Amino acid sequence: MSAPLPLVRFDDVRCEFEHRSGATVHALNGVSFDVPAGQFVCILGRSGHGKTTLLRVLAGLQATSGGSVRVREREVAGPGSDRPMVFQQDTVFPWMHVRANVEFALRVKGLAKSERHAISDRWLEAVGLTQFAESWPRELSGGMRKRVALAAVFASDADVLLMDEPFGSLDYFTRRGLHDVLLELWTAAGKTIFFVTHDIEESLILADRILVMSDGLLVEDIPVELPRPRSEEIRASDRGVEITRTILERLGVEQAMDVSERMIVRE
Amino acid sequence: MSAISRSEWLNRRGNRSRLRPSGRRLGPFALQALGFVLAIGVWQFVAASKGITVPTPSAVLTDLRNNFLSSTYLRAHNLGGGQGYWYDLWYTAKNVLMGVAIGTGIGVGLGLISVPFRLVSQVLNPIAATFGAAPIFVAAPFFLVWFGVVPTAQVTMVSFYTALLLYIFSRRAADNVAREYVESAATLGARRFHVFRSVYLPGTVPELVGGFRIALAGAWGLEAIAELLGAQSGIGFLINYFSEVFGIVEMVSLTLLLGIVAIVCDGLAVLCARALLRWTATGKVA
Amino acid sequence: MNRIVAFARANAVALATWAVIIGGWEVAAHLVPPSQIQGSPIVPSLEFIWTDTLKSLSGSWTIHMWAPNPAEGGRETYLGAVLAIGYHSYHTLLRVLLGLLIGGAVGVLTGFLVSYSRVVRWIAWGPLNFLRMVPLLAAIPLFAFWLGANTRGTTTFIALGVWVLLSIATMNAIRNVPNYFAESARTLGASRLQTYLRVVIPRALPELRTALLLSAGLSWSMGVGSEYIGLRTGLGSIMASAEATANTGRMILMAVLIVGYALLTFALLNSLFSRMVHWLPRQERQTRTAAPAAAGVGAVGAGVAATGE
Repeated sequence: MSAPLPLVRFDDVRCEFEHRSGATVHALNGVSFDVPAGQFVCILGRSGHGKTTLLRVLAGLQATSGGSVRVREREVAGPGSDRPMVFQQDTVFPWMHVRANVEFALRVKGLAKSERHAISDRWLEAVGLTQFAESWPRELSGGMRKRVALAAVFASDADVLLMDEPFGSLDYFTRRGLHDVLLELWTAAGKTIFFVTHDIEESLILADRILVMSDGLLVEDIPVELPRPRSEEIRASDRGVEITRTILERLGVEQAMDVSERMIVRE
Repeated sequence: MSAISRSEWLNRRGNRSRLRPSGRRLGPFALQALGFVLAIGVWQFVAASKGITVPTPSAVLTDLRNNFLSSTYLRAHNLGGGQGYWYDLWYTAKNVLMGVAIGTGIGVGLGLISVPFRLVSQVLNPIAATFGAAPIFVAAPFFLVWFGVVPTAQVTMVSFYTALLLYIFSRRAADNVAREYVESAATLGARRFHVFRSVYLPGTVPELVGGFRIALAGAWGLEAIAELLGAQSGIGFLINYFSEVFGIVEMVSLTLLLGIVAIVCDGLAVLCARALLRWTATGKVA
Repeated sequence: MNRIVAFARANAVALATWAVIIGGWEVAAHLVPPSQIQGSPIVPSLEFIWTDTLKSLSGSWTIHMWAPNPAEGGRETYLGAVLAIGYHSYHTLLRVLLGLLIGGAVGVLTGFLVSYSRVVRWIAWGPLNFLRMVPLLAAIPLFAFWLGANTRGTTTFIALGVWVLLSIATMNAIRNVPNYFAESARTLGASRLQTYLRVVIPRALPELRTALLLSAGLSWSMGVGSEYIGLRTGLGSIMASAEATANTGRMILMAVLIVGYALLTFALLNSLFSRMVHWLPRQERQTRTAAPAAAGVGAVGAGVAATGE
């Protein structure tokens, strides 16, 4: 059986910034990978090493200085409703009701009110916010607002969904709850998701595949074939620990630990 | 390999999102300059079509050139100091700067003193709230009647206005100093006065500079009005005089002169502020 | 009764301060000798203000209806005074509020239009900034000549000042909208125009509160100032003639009225604005601005305060 055509293809993508002082920052140094439809991909790495740039390039918010980014064989040329993004900041529009937020992409497309209502009803129920449909965002907690953002993005019915450390500003317990919500949505809708994070545990819970970025390069492409749901036991299994160690080593953390271990032994 | 370090880039990360329409490669400075050129063009057009009532840019320039350093007209009519425009400009500027300096000292002093000494703020806040919400200009006639038309009265008025504004700003700035800094200093063992000196004093500077600029800008208008009402020198006085003899060109050039001086002083204030604010993350004022 | 006691206890120091000030004023009124001019005291006591000064205002009621006209030998009456106050208040309020409204609407609109294109925004930035630094109060005689020393001219003058201030403030407010809002809308499929209208502008509106209050202060200063210097109706003009005769009692009355109206204007604007941005979370909504009128004397106030340049 031949492999299905990749939905997203990065081909030797480079990205450079010209800083005001004249220095050149190399954010992406030639990144290549293919992603098939329906995969949940986590992009992981230290802060400032290219994860967000990669996502923004895919979103069309950042221009490349080399290589090509294709979605469905078409070059990415700017932001579009086929690649909506959930930001780390709170981008739920406070001047619109919750429902209007969820319907934003649909409204922009010009769908009729009844159609929009049906779709937003469905996704509001999926994230558990049906009774808050007519509320103002300021009446909701941060975690609830994130659920609104997720509903808005899934309601747009795009095939590729982008998420830039969306739960980064929330507390651990809220985050774990949102992981469940997100996985449920993903299973129901079957979308392709690109999820940027620096949290290894988060990526083990969510991802089918982890792309490890370091210094603007893709240094590891790890398939995560662990069974779902990813309980604590499964994440602590041999394969889970192996993945964790690989990532830590690749990002330079393991080495520091070895040094301190050596020092203790010497005492 | 990056040409600058990661951490440096993170600190100075600007926003190079593709959404920023870069337009043509004209920088902001070029565009602003273009704006001025266009504005002067519009002025010329309006002046040409309106005839006598609106003087052309060149007429204004000529008037300034003829009368700035020394003015036969002023000398002949024994106006102001009998010198050029600069003399009355200096009179006005002197009053403004003195008044603002005194007012800043008093306002900031009271505002910061009220942090450790709560009684001060309890007494002053209600007064500041009422007077702060009132058009200060209303006080001008009273100063005139009580003190007469002397520079002291004008300086006093400007000081009062500045002190009021800066008191309010320094109170607000003190309230806005992030709790974390204060509490951190406290848990490191600093007592009240140390916290005051090491946290509140530097922490309120950004907002204070903003308040200072606001007060300075308003002070020019206040001083000019005070002079309009009855001084014998100063830009306001000259404007008033020329308004009675239909000297439109002179009125326009004097007003512009005042605007230029205000801008220059504001620019100087910003420069000095930059030195004080080198430590802030953005280096921005207020 | 309990609420009054509680209020008094909470604001004990403030009330005491005011009591001291008013008490001191009364003492000074009785101690300071009356001025030589007009026999009017330099520091008028409260009773004096309430009786003589108030009644004498009826001389300003120039429309000969409903009350005897002192200029033609009629008595000075309270009714005449009230009518006079109403008449002149009407003129002042008309100029100030109309100027504020027109200048404000046009200013905000200008800011929105100009900010759509980055190029246009930078072009307009320089001249507008220069204009706002020119102390408009100093240009009252000039504009009186250009626009006319009457209600229409004064209203236009005020509208001009407010326009400069608010267009700059709006431009700054739009500039301060965090990028991620617009980006979020774009990734959800909105066009540039849709993003601007549905996302950027609503997000920028709350920042205009400070500028709005400063404009109110500015329009009061410009209005009263214009009346003071060159008009024949309005509270400012009464104050001017009172100052010329050192009639401090009348000056205080006018001052109190002006301050009162100004405070009302601010309160009204503030609550209207809060209603408009009711969707904001509670903390952000209650921004009490510092010294709106005092800072409004200089148009740059709003610019600096609204943006922190």
